[in-house]
Amino acid sequence: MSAEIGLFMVVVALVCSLVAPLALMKERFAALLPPLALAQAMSLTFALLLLMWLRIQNDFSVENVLSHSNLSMPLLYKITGTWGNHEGSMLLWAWVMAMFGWWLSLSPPREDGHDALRSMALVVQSVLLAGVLVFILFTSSPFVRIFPPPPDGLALNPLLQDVALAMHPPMLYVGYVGFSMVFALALAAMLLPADKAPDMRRWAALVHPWIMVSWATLTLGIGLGSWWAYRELGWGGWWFWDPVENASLMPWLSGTALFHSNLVLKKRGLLAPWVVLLAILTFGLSLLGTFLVRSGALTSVHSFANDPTRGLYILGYITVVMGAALLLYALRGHRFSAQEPLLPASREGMIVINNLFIMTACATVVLGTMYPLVAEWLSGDRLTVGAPYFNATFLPLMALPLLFAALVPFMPWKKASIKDALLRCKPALLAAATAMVLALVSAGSHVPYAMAGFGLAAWLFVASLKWLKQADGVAGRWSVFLGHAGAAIMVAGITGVGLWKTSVEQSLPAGAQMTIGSYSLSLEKIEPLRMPNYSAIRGHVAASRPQPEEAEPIRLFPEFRTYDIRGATTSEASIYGTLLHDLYVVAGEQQPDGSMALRAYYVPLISFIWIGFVLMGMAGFVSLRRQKL
Amino acid sequence: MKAKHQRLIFVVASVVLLCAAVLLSLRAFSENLVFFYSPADLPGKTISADQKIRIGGLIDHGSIIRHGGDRISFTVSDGKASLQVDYQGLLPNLFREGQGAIAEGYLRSPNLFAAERILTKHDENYMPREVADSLKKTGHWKPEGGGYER
Repeated sequence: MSAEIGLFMVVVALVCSLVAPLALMKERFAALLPPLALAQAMSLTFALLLLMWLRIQNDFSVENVLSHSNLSMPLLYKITGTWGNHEGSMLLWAWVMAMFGWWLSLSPPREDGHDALRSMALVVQSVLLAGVLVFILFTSSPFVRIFPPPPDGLALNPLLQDVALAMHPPMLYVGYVGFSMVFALALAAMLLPADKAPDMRRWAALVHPWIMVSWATLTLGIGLGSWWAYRELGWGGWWFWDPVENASLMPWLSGTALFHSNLVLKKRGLLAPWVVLLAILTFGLSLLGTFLVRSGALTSVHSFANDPTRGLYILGYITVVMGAALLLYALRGHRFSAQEPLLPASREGMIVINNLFIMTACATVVLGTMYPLVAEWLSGDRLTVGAPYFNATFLPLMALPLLFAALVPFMPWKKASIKDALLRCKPALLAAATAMVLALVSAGSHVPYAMAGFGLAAWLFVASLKWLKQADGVAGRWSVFLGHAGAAIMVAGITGVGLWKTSVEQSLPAGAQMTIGSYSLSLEKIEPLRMPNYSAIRGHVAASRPQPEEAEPIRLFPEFRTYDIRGATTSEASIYGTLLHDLYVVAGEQQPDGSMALRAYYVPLISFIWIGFVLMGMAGFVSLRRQKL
Repeated sequence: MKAKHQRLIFVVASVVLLCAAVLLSLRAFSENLVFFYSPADLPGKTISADQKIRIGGLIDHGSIIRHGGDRISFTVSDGKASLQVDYQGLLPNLFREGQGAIAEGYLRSPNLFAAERILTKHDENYMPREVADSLKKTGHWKPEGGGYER
């Protein structure tokens, strides 16, 4: 029965979402919206819990449980596997959307026109949710039964049985879906009749927390996905410019532009049309990301659904939602235009310039990601855009806004002098110069890139420190520091990994040795293993280096696993991590002569990238303090 | 006047920088397109030996030869034509006979492909889309079982 109740709950949520627009008919009906939002949230929560329950119960008569779970799977992954597949993840998406709607409906009633805005946003959110629920019911129901039920399931793809990946989809979705709330509030501001149109400075304050929650969780979600790819895919890399990764980067970039511009709107009442446009685009890019991931329209190293019907539906949804939003913007966008002049040499001016760079960088990512689809559609050519394209365009385009980002906090609103800001940043200039000289002297290879990367990182980091010291008592002190310092640390990490990652690949018999970086690795033993749901060969690798002298060699245990179900194989990397570098060893198949194929990576500064993700995520959450929803 | 002047400098600088960015990106773009071909597409195409391309198909049964170390050769076919692929390195986890695979590298001669990278998928039910399409085109697509022989 549980599956049927689950399906029924989805239908209940759909009915509640379809009823919501009726509340616009009479003013007093608006009081119905909060209970409707609550009903959507409750019914979808119940549906999601039921799906989890079905998985815990091993109810293999449900197709979704059959295809993505089995008896020998650990309980944790039975639960988190709920969103490890297409159907479940779409239900999670809808659930997050409903929860956000409910959250908005909780804000206390106010006099200043906020209530009208809130009601309208709840209606928009309900319409968006209805579209997702229809998609779930007609193309992706997780509650489909099969008869007769088989005794055991097919299990979740073993690569997906990972802690980082268990957390990754919920975080990413909170990010994507959070932007739907910003979108709904932007549309609401345009939909309301002119006499009820909100004051845009108040509007900016209202959407700020929604943007920051979404942006911060999206940041952490991307970080987790990247961390998973690094540890599980066995390539020692953290970013591959793969369409699925780009899918999450695009809304992140436009979200970054959005919250910076929104600060200008909040403080100065300027840029309202631009902020509203960015709010629309950011959600549009979130939807585009979902389309890319869920339609299988592009060849990705991460494989997911490959179903044209779903792709077409999502494409139709994007077309309708974005078409309606942009049409509305064309008709009503002018109501936001402000008269006050904006000087380039001011904090808001610099933010605008940085916005332009970030959005240009975002456009190059969109071009490289979408071009293969368009080219195939137009000419039938099948092609991919290689990573060098992204590196050649995205990196220089992002370097400039990061260079300016160091100065912006030192520039006052309205009118500033770049000379003053530069003088304030003197320690940062010194640090950058030092870093560049150090890179010139000690970098063995890629000297110009190393100088640029580390120079930029030192410049931005020290400027953020200076800001932290100077901005005592200023609002935004910590969020600016954490965000900019996190970005600086990340730049250093990206530079280190990008320039100096090395790898060695060799087939070794037991007892043989190979060297990587300053380490010499010896394969002491090849051990066959038998675990409950897979068998494996495990390499016992001892790594030692002359400098610094360690008493004990570092022990690494890379494994090559063959799962019983589906015969799926995975390479489990074994990683020895330090702050400044990782030593990363992957095992491949055992060769016919009994030797083990080993691949080792020396990955400098990779931990800086993870630290950068965490600091930037924290920056987003810290900026929520003393904010009213 | 000063403010206006300053603004002009900023606008001009931004426009110049953005134009440079666009030019750079278009150049990088045209240099980094990697085209996909299936073995049956290749005859009649002129592809120079230094142009990076992707080819794909099903790994033929019995075609995998291990040359010792981690050197390997195999043939991929789309049902109409097949092509020998040479590769050195660790193989992706789902590399086996009958599996769909994409190889990225260079066409050394009309019937020899030197691969730098082999791509298969995380999920063995899934076939690279290009491979599925070219199998459909040559009439060797088997929809049941994800489209390839088990």
